Amino acid sequence: MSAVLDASGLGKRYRQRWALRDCTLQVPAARVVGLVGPNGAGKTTLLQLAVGLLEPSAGQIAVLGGRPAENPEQLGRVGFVAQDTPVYSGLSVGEHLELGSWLNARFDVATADRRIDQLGLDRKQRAGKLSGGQRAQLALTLALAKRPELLVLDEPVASLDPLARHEFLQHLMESVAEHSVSVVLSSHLVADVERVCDYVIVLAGSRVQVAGDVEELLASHHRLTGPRRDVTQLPSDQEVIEASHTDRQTTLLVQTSGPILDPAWTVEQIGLEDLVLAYMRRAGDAGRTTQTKHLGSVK
Amino acid sequence: MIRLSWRQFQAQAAVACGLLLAVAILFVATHGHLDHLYAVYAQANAKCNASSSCPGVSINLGKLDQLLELIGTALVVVPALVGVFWGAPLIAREFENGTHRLAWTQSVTRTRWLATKLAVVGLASIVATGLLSLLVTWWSQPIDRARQDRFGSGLFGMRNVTPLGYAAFGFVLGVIAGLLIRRTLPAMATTIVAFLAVRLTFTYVVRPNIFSPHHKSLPLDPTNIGFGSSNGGPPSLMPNTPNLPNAWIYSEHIVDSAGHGLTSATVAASCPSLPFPGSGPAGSGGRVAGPVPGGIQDALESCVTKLSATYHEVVTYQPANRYWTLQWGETLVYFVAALAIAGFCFWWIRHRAR
Repeated sequence: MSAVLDASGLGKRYRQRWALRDCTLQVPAARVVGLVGPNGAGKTTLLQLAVGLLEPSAGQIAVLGGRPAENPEQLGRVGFVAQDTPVYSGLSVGEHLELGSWLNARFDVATADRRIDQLGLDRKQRAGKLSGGQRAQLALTLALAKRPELLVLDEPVASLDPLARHEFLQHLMESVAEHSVSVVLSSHLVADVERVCDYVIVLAGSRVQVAGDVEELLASHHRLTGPRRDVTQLPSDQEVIEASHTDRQTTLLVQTSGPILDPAWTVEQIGLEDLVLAYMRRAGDAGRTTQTKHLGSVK
Repeated sequence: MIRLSWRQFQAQAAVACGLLLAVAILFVATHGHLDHLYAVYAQANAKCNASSSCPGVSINLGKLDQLLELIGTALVVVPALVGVFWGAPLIAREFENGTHRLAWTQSVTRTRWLATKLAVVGLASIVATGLLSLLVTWWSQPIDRARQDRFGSGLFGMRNVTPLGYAAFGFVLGVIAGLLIRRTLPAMATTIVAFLAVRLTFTYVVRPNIFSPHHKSLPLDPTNIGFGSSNGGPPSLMPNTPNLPNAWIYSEHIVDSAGHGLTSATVAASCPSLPFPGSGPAGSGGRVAGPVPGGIQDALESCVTKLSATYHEVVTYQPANRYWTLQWGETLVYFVAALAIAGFCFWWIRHRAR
């Protein structure tokens, strides 16, 4: 299996603060990968490392087998839609298409033209006058027309209204199906990820919490409800992601590859949203614990 | 990438072309008139040189000519404007709008992106400033020939090749300010401050010390020495300006053979008939330098004759024939500085910029 994105021990530090830390992960090809996590979790940092806008402070990252932004060829193989979908406000829509063809040897003018027509964009209109949704679509058009093997999108729909968001994701999925391109997109909205992604990476507290195929993740995570008990007594193949107790009852979210055999548990399927939230909360708790420890050692 | 750089620069280039064209039209239309003024001046000057009592003539410029001369003076700020309006926004604006993320993820390495931008806009900066300098130098030739003061009052940096060096330097200074500060307005402000600091330092500290100046001794000339005081000091003899056309004169001093300057006390002791404050009717502190009017002239002449036995005048100056060496040298220094800064920009954009 060839990984479109292969990171080991990857980290990025700004002065004293680590924006991303100890990130080891392999993203398989031909998937639509959702990168989720709270704001400030390091999503943008990871994606910018992948497209070569940033250089790692630690570890390595390989994208499609090469070093990001190493040369024009490598740059051409990866399409990128940056956060807030920047475009040149002084240039027209048509000029953006020209710009794409000037700067990319493999630029697919026909595809770009067709998409602009489908979107009903006026080629003469200045990009600065476009609505947020139109601007995002223009940025996506440019990225797709590069004919990339990997398309990276950083919070592409974050600033869009629900309708524009729906349309954007719809177009994205159609294009992905048409051109069979691998996609990595980040979002802090699990619902969007659930709609379009078949692989998910949860990033929180500057670290990867969990990564995997959505169906496999859902199949290996269960919500267990039963009489109150000590969670350290569980079988060794069951990892507790989250636990909550009332006086008489214990509710757990566990990850296990095997079946749940204990008849005392009521086993429930969980949704992606719950799964992601559980990992994020765990990362938040862990972060607070380390912080407290750190403060303690200072004293 | 060249086409994109050019497209982004088009509007600014159009403004520059328009201004250059306007200046060219004005200059071409008025140049004949200046030539005529010079011919009149040259005739008067020849007559003046022939007579012994003529203090000198100067070229007689009209109101319009003086106004047009200001365009020539504007040449001194053009390199700063190039840095502020072409250099500083070049990268800062991309950072501000986030478009560098769009540009740097196309199939063009950011090294080439920067190289192309620098080449297109940098070349335009040098060409535009060069054309303006060419126009100004050509137009003001009659005035400059009449004034014989190529090193004087900022003229050195407003003629011939030095503006090209300033333009190249001002431009990359703007670029690096934008690259490091990442915001257009602060980068513009920094550019102008840094540019002025460098230009002034070079002009007043570096340039005079590149070559050690020549010294020339002249006997005191009774008919040309003035009497008066400068800057409110005690009155003394004022050395006359030697006839060194186009030389860069640092100073003129009256000294004795040991090199000691002529003091007011010495003058007062040797020439009691001169009007020192409190000693005579014209003793009002003598703020006026230059030839002394009336009967005092005789007293002054005899005084100078007396003093010239022990005192002479020393002129410190750069000879006129160093003009081109200094022009090309200074231009080269600014170009090399520009290249060094550009090199740093490349290093920064590859390893530090994000």
